[in-house]
Order: sequence, then C-alpha cells, then structure tokens
Amino acid sequence: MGILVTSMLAICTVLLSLVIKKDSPVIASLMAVTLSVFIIIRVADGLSVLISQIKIISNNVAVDDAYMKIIFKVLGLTYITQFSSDICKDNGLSCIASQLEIMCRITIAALSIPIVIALMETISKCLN
Amino acid sequence: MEVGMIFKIAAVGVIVSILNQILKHSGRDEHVFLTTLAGLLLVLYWLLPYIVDLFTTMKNLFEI
Amino acid sequence: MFKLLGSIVIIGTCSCYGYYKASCVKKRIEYLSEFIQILEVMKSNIGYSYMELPEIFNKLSDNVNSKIFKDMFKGLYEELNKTDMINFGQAWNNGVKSLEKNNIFKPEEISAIKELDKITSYIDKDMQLTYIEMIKQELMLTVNNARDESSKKIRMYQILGVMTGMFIVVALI
Repeated sequence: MGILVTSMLAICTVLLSLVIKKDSPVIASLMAVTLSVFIIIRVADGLSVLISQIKIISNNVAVDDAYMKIIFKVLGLTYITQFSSDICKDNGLSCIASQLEIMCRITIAALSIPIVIALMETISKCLN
Repeated sequence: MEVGMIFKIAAVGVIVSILNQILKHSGRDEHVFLTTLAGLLLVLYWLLPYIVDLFTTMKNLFEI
Repeated sequence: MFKLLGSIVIIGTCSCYGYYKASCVKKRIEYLSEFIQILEVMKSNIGYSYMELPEIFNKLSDNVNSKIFKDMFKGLYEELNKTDMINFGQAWNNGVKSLEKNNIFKPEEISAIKELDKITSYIDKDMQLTYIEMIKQELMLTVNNARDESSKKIRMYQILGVMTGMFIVVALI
C-alpha cells in the first residue's frame, strides 16, 4: 500500500467524513482516526528496519548505548503525543491538546536529564 | 480488510445519519441518541484492536 | 456468493417487517372508519326500521367488507339466537374479545367499543340512539388523530425496516 493508494484513501476519507459530519460527527472523526492508525501500522515495518539500522550505526560509532535509548524513547513519546493531541485539536478540544503537549515536554525533559548531566560533566572537564 | 474497513465505517455513518434524520422528522427524538450510540459502539468495536496494535508497536519499537 | 444471498435475505426480512408494521397502521385506520360506518347503520336501523338487534347484526355481517367484523357480527347473531339466556352485554364482550386477538386496535378503542354492551340497559329508543352517537363521536376523534399522524408513521416504519436490514448487513459483513 504505497503512497498513491494512501493519498487516494485519504482523499476518499475526507470527502466521506464531510458527508457524514453534519448528522453524526462522531463517526466522521472516527474515520479520520482509523485512517491515521492504518497508515502508521503500515509504515511501522519500515520504521523498525530504520531503527535497527540506526542502532547498528551507533554501535560502530562511539556513542553510548544509553543515550541512543533515550533518544529513541523521546522520538516515540513525541509521535504518540502528536497523534493524540492532533485528534483532540481536530475535534475542537485544543485545551486537552495543549496539556498533552506540556506533559510530553516535561517527560522529555525528565528523560533527558542524564544527557544534560553528562554534557555538564564534559564541559566542566574541558574547562578544567 | 484494512482498506475495506474505512468504507464499512462510512456505510455505518451514512445509515446512522439517515436513521437519525427519519427519527427526528417522525418525532422520536429519544431514539436518535440510541442509534448514534449503537453506531459508535460498533465502530469502536472494530477499531479498538487496531489502536491497541498501534500503541503496542510503538511501545516495542521505541522501547518506552 | 453466500454473503450476497445472506445479505439480501436479511435486508428482505427487515424491510418486510417494516412494511408489515406500516400496513398495521393503515389497517387500523380503515377498520376504525368502517366501525364508525357500522355504528351509523345500527343507528339508522334502530331508529327507523324497528328491527331487533340480532336481525341488525345478521344484516351487518352480510354487508360489511372486512373479515373480522363479518365474523364478529355473525358470531354475535348466532349467540343471541341460542335459546340459553345469555344477556346482551356478555355476548357483546365475547364478540369484542375476538377483535382484541387481532392486535390491531389500541386498548382505548377496545374499551370504547366494549361500552356498547350497555345499550340494552336503555329501554327508550332515543336514548339508545344518543348512546350510539356518543360512542361514534369518540371513535371519530380517535380516527382523526390517527389519520394525522399515520402518514408520517407509515413512511417511517417502511424506511426504518430497510435501514435496519442494511445496518445489520454492514455490521456482519
């Protein structure tokens, strides 16, 4: 299911949900959610190949394994938060969307504390 | 199955819309809510396995 | 292939049920108007021809169009002609029970029709006529109300039947 089929499906979904939106907006927004879920499930295979390749590359370069893990966690967190907050915004509840994004930012900041500490140590070693 | 699912949800949505219009015009407004709820539950029943699949995949992929 | 057959069967059954309910509504209105005409005929017979009640019922059961009223009045005529002394009220109520079984009339209408059993408690012919007129007015009010809302209801039941069939098909395929 390449990009062509996906784009055509997306256009069909948009038009169908416009037809249904007035009388039952629930099902219209559920159609949008469904299509998004399908697209990502299809892409997930390629994504897993990509991530394993990045891990192999990072093993060859002298980057600590823990840092790569943190980076991947942050990536996943960003994606999930973006997905959920877009659904909220599409249905008019941008309040929830903003709170989700704030939670995402705070979690990322908390996750990346080790990296910041390591950076500070490196800088202080350099200065000393 | 995946491609056809979108059109099945669209068909459910159209039928629910037509049913709601007819019930509204005949004065049975209390059944409108029930029909919408029934359609919503049916679509969610189809959709939930895929959403669970998506979040599990994401969790395993990024090792959250 | 079987899916197509099954879906056609489901849609057919549900739309048939919808059409059946719509036809029940139509039949109720027809039966009510016919009963009002029957009351008119009874009034004119009691008022002008001095026939006895069993004779009137016999004539009605021959002239009436719909089967349930034919059977009801035929049964009433036979019961009243039997020699054991059943009184008119009980005979009338037995006849009305056969109408109840059909499930077409609403309870208010059945109770209004049942009130006609008190007609023999009036000896005076004019009081009998006034009593029949009163019941007739009640039924005419019911018929007018039913006619107003029936056109919407008929359409609704038909479309509801078809839509439910399609809903079930989409849910199961």
